[in-house]
Amino acid sequence: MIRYIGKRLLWMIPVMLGIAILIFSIMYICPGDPASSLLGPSASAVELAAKREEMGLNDPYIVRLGRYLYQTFIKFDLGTSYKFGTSVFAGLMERMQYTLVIALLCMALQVFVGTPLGIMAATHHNGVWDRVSMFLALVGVSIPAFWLALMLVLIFAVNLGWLPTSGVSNGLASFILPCIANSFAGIASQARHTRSSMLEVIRSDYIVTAKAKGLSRRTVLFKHALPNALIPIITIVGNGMGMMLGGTVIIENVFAIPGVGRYMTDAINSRDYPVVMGGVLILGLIFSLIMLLVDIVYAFVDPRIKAQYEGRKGKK
Amino acid sequence: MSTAVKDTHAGVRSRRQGQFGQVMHRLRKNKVAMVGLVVLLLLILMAILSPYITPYDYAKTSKANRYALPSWEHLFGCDAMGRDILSRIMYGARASLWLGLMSTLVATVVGVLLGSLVGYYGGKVDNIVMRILDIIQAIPGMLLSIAISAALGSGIGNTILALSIGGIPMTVRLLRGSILTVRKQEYIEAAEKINCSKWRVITSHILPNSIAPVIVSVTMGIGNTILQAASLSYIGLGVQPPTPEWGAMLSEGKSMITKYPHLCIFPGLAIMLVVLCLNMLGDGLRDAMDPKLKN
Repeated sequence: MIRYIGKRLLWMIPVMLGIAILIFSIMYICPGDPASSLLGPSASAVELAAKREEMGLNDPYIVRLGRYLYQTFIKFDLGTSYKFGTSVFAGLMERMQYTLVIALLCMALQVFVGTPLGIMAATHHNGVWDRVSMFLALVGVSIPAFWLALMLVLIFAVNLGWLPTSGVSNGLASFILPCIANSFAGIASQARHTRSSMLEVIRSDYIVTAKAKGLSRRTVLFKHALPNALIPIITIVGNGMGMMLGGTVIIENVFAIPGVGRYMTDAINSRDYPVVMGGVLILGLIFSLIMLLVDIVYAFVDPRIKAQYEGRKGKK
Repeated sequence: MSTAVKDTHAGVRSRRQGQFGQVMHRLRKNKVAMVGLVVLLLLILMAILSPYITPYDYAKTSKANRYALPSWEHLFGCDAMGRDILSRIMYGARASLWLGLMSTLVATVVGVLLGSLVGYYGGKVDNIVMRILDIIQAIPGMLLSIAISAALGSGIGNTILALSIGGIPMTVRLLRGSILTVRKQEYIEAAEKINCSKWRVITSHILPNSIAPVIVSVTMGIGNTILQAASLSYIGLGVQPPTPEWGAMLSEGKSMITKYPHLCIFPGLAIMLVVLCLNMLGDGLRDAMDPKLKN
């Protein structure tokens, strides 16, 4: 198992290198001149040329890419923001708290609201509860998150005045609407997947056996059905995390939350490339780590997968 | 008893109609999916005919109608420039649907080509392609679309490219997994043994038997792509005003949402309706293609 984790961690190095090259190339073909957006429209042509030379913007692609990779992976420096003149890493870390709070709260909502909903729907298969919750889930996966956010603001912040419209100055209350808006689709899709996974398990022979043995409904459900149904659901949780991280970029814009997503969209608009590249790298790293975690949890939940690793270890 | 009779009947039917007919037969019996399909077709028709059927010119501004509330003359009201919102939504369906359909199509075509290549040949090609896809997948999809569309600039073509790249890895993975199970079957070996060309083995033996999960994911994918396209336009990338597009309309309306909520309510409802129909159809297709999953 440790061997496997080690291998996966090592494999992340080429993945991060790949992300860096990819995002550097994307930013390289980006139109617009960082030098002119830095100096403003009043700068003269000579000043602009000098600034471009100073920033190394005149060097060929491969030289700039090499310099970027050297700086990032050897010196562990994400560079300085063109716009603020401050360290990109510090800027990202300062804003990361908001993004992570939202993403993690959303994740928690998805798991702890979506899964029970799906289980209830499956156990009341074709009943009223099943139909109502699955219809809601269908609507849930079809709503644009930012539009839901706008509507929630309109109802709960503007008309009812219960919650703040934007910003982060109100503590936890500021995060309620962003989290609901961002996790709604996740909850819905979690419920849908849990339901179909549960239904498949409920129909299998060992559940029939368990029922035939005269076990209580509760025991059959939680001891026999759920652990087996959970396995495919874990994958959804991992993918959900990617969606949440991407989704916060939009949600932070709707609610004016000073998180990583907003930092990055602002940076895109002001051609602040180091910030964009740094942000993508860090979010990619977090996402990859979470996917690794998901795979490890997988092994713990599913003894079959665990046995695979142990079997392999035995051979070696 | 009656189900058994029905089953034999379905069996007879399948022999006569083939796999495709069987799927369509099951799909036609699914009311929810059919409602989704019909509404979707109506919306597509509306998008195609929009230059002729919109009640007003979508670009015509009017000072008197600025922020006009919904009324009998302007069912959905008017926007900041006095343009009729209903007409803009009807016309905007073109951009929104086109973006969703084309991005998914591009992602699917590339994904199916790559997927059948790596699934069939395996080995080194498989390893290289899958590792590259690992890298693309390590970036959250929305983030990748944002970065690419910032690099390429706005406009429909560029947005299609930005949205499709993120969709490729999933299609490849799905198809690859499905091909790997089909590939070992005896009929593939048989086809190879009677000297079928590789192209023929892939297109007429492997793909028809492994494409089902891709078709379902494509249907759902269009909905997702439409949501992503709208999000991109909303933060000022993607399609930009004055082109009427639902996400862009929301973006224009957001600053006045507290005073004039109708600017935002209706475009959002339009997006929701389309995606809902696509998901209803997708669910139906999934059930029709894999009857084991139903009931």
